[in-house]
Amino acid sequence: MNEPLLSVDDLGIAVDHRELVHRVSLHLARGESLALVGESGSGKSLTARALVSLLPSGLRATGTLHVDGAEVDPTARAAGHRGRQVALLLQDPFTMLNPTMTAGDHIAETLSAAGRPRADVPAEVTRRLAEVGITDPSVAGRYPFELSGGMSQRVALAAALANDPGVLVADEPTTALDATTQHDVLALLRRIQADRGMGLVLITHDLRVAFSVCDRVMVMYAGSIVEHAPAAALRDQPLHPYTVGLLTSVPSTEHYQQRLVGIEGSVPATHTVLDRCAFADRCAHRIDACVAAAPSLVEVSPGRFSACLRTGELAAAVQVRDAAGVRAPAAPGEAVLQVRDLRKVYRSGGATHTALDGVSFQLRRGEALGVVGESGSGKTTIARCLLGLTAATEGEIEFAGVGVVGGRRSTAQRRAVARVVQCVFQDPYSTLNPMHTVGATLAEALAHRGRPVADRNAEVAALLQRVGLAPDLAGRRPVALSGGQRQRVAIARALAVEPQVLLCDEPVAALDVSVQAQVLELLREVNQQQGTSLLFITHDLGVVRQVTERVLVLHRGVVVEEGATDAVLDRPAHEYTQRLVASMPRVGGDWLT
Amino acid sequence: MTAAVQPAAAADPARRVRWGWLFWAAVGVVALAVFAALTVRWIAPYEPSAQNLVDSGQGPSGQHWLGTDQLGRDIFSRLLAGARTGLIGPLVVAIGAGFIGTALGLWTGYAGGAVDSVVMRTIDLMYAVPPLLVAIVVVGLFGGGYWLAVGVLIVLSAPGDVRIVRAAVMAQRELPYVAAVRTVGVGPLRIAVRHVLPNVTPTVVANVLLQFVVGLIALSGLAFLGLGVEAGSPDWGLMVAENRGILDLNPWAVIGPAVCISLLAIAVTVIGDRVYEVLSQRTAAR
Amino acid sequence: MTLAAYALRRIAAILVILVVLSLLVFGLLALMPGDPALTLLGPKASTPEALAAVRERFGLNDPFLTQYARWVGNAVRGDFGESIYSGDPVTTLIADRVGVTAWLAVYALVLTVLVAVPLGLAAGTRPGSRTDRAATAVSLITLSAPTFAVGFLLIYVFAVTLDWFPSFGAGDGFFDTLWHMTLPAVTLAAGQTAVLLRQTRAATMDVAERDFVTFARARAISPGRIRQRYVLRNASLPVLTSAGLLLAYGLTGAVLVENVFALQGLGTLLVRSVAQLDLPVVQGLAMFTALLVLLTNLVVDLLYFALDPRLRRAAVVS
Repeated sequence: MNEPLLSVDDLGIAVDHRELVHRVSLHLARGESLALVGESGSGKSLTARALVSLLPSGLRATGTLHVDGAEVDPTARAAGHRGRQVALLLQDPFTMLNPTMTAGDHIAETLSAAGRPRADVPAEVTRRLAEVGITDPSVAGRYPFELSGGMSQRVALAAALANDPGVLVADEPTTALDATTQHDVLALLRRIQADRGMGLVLITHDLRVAFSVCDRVMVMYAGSIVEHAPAAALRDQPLHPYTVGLLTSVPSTEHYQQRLVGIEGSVPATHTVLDRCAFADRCAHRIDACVAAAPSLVEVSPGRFSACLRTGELAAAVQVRDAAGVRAPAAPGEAVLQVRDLRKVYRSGGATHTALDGVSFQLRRGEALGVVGESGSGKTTIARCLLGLTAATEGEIEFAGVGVVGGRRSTAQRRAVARVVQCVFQDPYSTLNPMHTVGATLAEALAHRGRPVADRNAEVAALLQRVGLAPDLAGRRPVALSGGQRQRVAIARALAVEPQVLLCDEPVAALDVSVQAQVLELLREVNQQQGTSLLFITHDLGVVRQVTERVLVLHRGVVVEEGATDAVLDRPAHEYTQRLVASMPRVGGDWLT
Repeated sequence: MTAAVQPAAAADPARRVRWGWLFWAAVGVVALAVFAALTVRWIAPYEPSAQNLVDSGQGPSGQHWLGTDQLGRDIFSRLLAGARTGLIGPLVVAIGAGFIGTALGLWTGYAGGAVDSVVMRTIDLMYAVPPLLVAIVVVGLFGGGYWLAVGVLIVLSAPGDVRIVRAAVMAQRELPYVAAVRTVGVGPLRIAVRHVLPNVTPTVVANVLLQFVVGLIALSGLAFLGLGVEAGSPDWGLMVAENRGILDLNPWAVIGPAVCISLLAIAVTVIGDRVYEVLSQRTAAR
Repeated sequence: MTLAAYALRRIAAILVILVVLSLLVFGLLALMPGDPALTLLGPKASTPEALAAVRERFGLNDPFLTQYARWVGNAVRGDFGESIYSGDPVTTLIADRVGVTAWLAVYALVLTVLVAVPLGLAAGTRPGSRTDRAATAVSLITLSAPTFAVGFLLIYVFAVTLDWFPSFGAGDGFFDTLWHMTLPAVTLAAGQTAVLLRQTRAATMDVAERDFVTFARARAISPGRIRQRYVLRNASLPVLTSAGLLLAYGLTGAVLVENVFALQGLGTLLVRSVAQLDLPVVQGLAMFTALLVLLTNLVVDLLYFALDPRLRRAAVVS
């Protein structure tokens, strides 16, 4: 093995006296690709920032960082390697580019900064854009707001690569993109990395992305590396219980799972678990020794490292259980919700945008119906129309027992509709009023249900237990809850009104994967045991496979395909559905081709 | 899925708020002013309006700590007495404008529609003329006294409050928690008052304090121009105007009231800034 | 929307505001306590003949709207009548004095921008630094201290004690005027600087935290270029709005400063006219002021087009 291009030894990152990243070491050879995988709070993004000496101000770093043999300071304001030897690509394509500069200018200024003769720059910009798959020469003259997300991310990639760095650090470069775009950008990234013989550090929360792009994978948890192995080995035989949990938590796109298994609890703060196994509290295999001292990352077999005391004895016990389950036969009743020929046209200035173009469907009692689509498909507009948050341009919505209700609703109509449809929104951090306690939030919802409330406190406690939360959370404010807990409270609030339909608008999209499974399992339970119908809006085919029995595929405001979930996902008929299914990340096989 | 650089333990609700020495110093200044306004009758060394032409225009001495004005009135006693108009008018302006602004801001921001359009167009209109000029013209032409000036300033300050509260309310209205309680069936009035209002409270409180400062500066400016307060009454702005001719004889007669206005204004601004920071930390903590 | 269409729409809005405002301003006469004829007679002896003459001359016996139409008809031709007090045409009075006020306002704005923008930029790029804390502290004081207090403080220090600058008068010729106007301009600029500095600092802090700045640093773009092309350029929109408002208010809101330094500008004219109940002058000044404020806002709005590619592109495309 040749001299590592990038090497980090014992990196620690702290704010005040709280450590956020603890003793991370990594080495990257020329032309090699390494994935750093972890959930929020794992410290993976901070580690990425440290590699280019761009830590947020106020953070301190310890340990050493060498680039091409030379030591650099991870906290330096000016760092010679940054952007030249090691480049950084960020997550959000819509905020990464300067809104007042054209795409071409971004690449050109980086080229000029590298001292290229002025006359060569325009031709070089064209060549660089072509490298990232943009052959339309007019793109160089466009401003960021005139580019799609995928296009912006490509332009940003070209700009990051303009100095021909030896290593590219890509921090969740496709997380904000749609599945089909993510697929293309990842394939591009992999190709460019191979063509240039460039080192790549890919930061991601998605093991499936890591497996398909990188040679080696490091799994981070609460600021430390818990497992490190070649991608194929990690995929086939994960050693650390956390990695196993992470793999198990990903809802399968391929088959229905009898039980969705997540990881109980939530990620602890790094500085609170420095003297023990950080994962111990959530681990099913914990023994007393796990909390007596912090396990170190040891080489289990050549190239394979794990930070678990019980690695040897558990090898057989920890298996990714992934067997195809059998759906309970569905017996949906009469229609509770009928949507007929819904159209929604947005007007701003002189321009019009058709968000929904004649969408019809019905939802039966006890049924779980999925609405799948990418951004701009109109799926959220359906939810807004149903809830009366916006008025449809044409078409009508009929609610069981209430009748047809338009977009502009009186408070009385709103209350009548409330007993038919309740909603769980996407963002757990703003779905609850930060000034109200959990108990007050639930009590307010209870007051709007059909039957009278006998004992408010008892009912609140029952609701909390119903969604798997301790009753004493009633006295807390949302700030004291984790994302998963907040989303459960949001579900409890919706259930408090005892609706016939639970509308879920991407309810787990903002949650870590280990927490998603529990929330999904709860929603399945509500549907299957209580008979509440689900209208489930999502972009994630894995989620739709697990939660729904029937699905609508929405594309640019039109339902392009409709049918039983298993049938649609296994044998997509429409060209768009086929593309969507093909671009879904998978654990096994190479889906990036 | 967030990849933002977010320290896991950033939000620590248990950590106590530190107000800082500057805040307490500012509270001290306001407390002193209030104390002076309440007790001037007993603690002032001289009757604030008592003339003594023999001692007119004197500099500071053991008898008159800050000297006297042209009519021989004791500057220190007049400064203490000036705390009354320095506090009460601005307070009424701040609370009056804050009340109107919050009510209208909540209504227009949450409900939108025709009322919103009418109110906002009216405000655009009011912004076309600098408020101080309107105050000068109205108070001057209509020959009104202090309370007319206060009333005019309430009307002129309210649009700023409406805009700020309206913007804050509109930002809140877009958040899912509002959509969620609407979906639950909660009525608009209750949403506005019980849900949105508590979340815009930092803005409202900070704004009321800011309006106090604006009111203080405007009222003393009017007084300086001879508008509003009655001639001869002990008011800081008026004192500056009355004594400008003896700047060389007794500079304290001018600088004293100027410093009083400035100190009170600065103190309330400091309190407003700090209260806003602390309150918004509490509400925004997620 | 094209630039021309946008400008036309804004101008139409301005006209509407001017119409409503003119109704209010003209209505002042009717609203004022006492007989309008007495008001317009001013200091002259109020004999029944004189009053009748005034009624005849101003058409006070006509219906309100007829009077208003006549007043507006004259006003658009720049005729606001004559001062009740001196008999001079209002337009002449304003024209004579607008120079001093414009000098003061522009001088103050130049000082304000030169100090506030670089300082705000420096403070906003490094919040919590020594520069930032100093700038915040100074702006806190100048924001809260009333203009006339600052004015007399400056007079006491620089005119009375040090005798470096004159304490009153406007001067003749460019350099003499510059010398005379320095203390008034600094006084006016003190409060304005605080406002603009706070605004620039906030806008800079907001922009400096954006991803595109981080991404520029990650690409080894020089700090100077980042400051100009990334931070300042994107922070310029809110700063521009603020500066426009300051100019508009500075042109007119210098009442107190002119009063402190005994400058014969529009502000002192207004205060005097109000004291003398010289209604035509007050009306003329009010309309003139409103026009200035509205035009300044229009210019700021149009400048947005040059600075924001979103608006520019939208203007070209459709």
